[in-house]
Amino acid sequence: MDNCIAPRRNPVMGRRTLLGLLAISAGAAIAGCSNATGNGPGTSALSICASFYPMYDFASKISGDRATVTCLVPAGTEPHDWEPSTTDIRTITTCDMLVYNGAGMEHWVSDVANGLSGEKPVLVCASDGLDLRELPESEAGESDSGTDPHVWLSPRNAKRELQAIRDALVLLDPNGHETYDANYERWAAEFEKLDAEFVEGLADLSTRNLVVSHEAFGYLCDAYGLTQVAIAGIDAEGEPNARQMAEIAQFVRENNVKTIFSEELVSPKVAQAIASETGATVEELNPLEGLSDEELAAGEDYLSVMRKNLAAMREALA
Amino acid sequence: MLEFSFMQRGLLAGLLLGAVIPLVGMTVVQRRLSMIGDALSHASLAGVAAGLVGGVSPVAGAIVACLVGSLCIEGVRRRAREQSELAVAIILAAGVGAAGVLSGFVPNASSLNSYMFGSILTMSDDEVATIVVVCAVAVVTRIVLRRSLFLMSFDERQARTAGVPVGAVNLAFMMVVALVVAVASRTVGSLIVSSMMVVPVACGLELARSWRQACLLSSLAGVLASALGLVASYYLGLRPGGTIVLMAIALLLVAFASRRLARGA
Amino acid sequence: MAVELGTPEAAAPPVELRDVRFSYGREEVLHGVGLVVGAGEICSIVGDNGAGKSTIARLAVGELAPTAGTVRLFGENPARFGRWNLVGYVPQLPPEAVSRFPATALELVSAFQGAGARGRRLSRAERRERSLDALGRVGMDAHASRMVRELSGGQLQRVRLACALVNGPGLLVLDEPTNGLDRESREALCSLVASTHAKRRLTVLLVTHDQRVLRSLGGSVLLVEDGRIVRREA
Repeated sequence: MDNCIAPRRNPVMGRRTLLGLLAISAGAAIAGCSNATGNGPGTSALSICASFYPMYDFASKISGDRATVTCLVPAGTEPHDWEPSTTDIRTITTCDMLVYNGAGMEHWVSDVANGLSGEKPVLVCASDGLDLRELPESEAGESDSGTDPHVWLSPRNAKRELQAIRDALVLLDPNGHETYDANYERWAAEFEKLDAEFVEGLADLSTRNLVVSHEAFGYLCDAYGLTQVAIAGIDAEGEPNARQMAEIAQFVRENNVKTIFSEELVSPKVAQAIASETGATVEELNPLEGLSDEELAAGEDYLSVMRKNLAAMREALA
Repeated sequence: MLEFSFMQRGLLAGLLLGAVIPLVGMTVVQRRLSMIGDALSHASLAGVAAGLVGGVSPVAGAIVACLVGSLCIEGVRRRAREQSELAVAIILAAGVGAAGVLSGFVPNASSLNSYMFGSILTMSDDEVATIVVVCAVAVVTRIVLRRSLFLMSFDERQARTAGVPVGAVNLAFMMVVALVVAVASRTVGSLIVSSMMVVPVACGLELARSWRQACLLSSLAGVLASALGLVASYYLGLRPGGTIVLMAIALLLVAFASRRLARGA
Repeated sequence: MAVELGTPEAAAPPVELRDVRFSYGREEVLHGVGLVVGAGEICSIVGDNGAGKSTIARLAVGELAPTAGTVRLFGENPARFGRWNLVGYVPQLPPEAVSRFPATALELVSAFQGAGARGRRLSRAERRERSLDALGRVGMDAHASRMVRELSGGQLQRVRLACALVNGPGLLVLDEPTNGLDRESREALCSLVASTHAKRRLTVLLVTHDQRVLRSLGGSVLLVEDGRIVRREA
């Protein structure tokens, strides 16, 4: 039921593909949501399922007009708790490739994979080969594997994920080799540029403590020498205990933290309580776990959202 | 501990709810509707989701859903008393089901989360004020209707011929229950509400030698559980909702034990 | 505490049913019942289980509304009746229904006081005194501060009788008052009802299936079978 296509203007996409996607999504809107397993009219493209937004964005960027990409987790939904519906399972089993992040993000993939028979779809774990952060024992609840799944929030890791997706696409569809390589080169350059902006933007800050409500920014902080201070552990909806709250409030006061970062898909109540305790302000930092319909309509993507995050961090830590 | 304003707010709300919810719960338990707190807090989830989907205030949605749920339960209880426990379970199921389906249509999931998962430590000043108002409404109702509620707890049929307007009192009481559950479960969490409605009452029933004592002891147990639970949460680093409930259970065990000792002596 | 006499309604019979029919859902359980209990009379309704005895009592006090026919309580429609201090009603109540009711006998009787529109508010001391008095008359004053859930079946019935009598009613309606009681308790209850009736010209409407209760109380007896009154005896 929730399985909407996220229509998004992709500069690489051919016009016909775009029209096709729009047609499908219009149909989806009328049906009140739907799957989109079939190829859009006018294309003979591959169909790719992406588990959640960054995977969708990366896969779209690499595949260009050679594939229709479906995002499984609908816009505005927190992906950690998401489970595929029956319709989603059907979508997955009839597509050519399932791109997922791995590292403990999509606990449902192994169940779905067990239920698959035959060759389709090819499973692509985009985080394969990356160095994963271990989660402390107490915070391992969100991830099955005990690792921090939010690898995509470091632009360097994101580039590696692009690469993994390209490699998988080349294997599956050797005829598109040139397209995939060209797209990869183009976007890898963009991601490197983003990385450079982060290095420069976060170079001289007065404080290097990033206070966040959802412990998603570990890879980002590691990459640019920041320290992540989490408010409610890594659990997006966990109720904090009073001692944690007190410790965080104390930390915020002692370290003169001006801004606490909440995120759009999670209740900001804990962050607000800490903020009202300490006089800090609550700002949003987007962990890119899913973009809202408005953001998608406004043409936001991984790069633009990360640039906003960078600006917000510079503002808060200056 | 009290230098933190979130602890001050938490204690204020905890003590108030600890004192007031068992007073309401006493009548609830007498009616054999002990699970109603759970059922209505699930119904209120559906109300929150409906409010967000329909673009009206989610808290209003929660209150309306609780009212509807409580009136359904009361309707069944009035017609077929022995079916009321079934009605409670059905409202619970309906609440979970409706919330599950409606949440799929909520445009922005974060707004849903912020209403779904209340915590006694993350209340805003407005929420504390709402709790104070709701507690005041509940206490006033309990005081104004104390004779009627007492007689109806004993026997509704005999109460009616003692001049108690049974239908109206039931209606008013169920509305208060709905209001308390809707507001408190959205702010401090459904766990605290549904257990405060029952566990301190069981303490009171165990130890009391009169109705008066039963009400006072229930309230006292609720207040103690809230205070001890919050303090333990602060010093031991435990989650407050569960800690408060376990404190209430611990008090109940103490009550059982002391009653047994008193009997043996 | 005396029965309020002198008002025109008080001259009307305490209980009056004319051609009353009643249905639970689609099933009609009373098929036209007529019955008048005049002031000071004792009227017993007997019959098998399911014959409709209790339904007659419940209709008489307005707990149920008839599907056809008229019911009058002291000449008034019970649905709009206000002078409940005139009525003492002891419906059936299984003892386990009060198993978690944490009140003392005294608290319970006190709460039943002051019913009715005309009763002036009593002070706490007055209420207590009257309640103890009512408990005394049923022989339960020694148990006033005991919890009702700890009383025996017979003791509980006596306390409930005290609740029904505490306002000095003109009509006492008893629905199977001796169910589950042993011989001693039953006889004690019967003699209590008989002596209260004798002392105060109390009207009694009694529903019972127990011949021994009938014999000890006397009065008129109506036999109910399948929703009809089939025999009247004086």
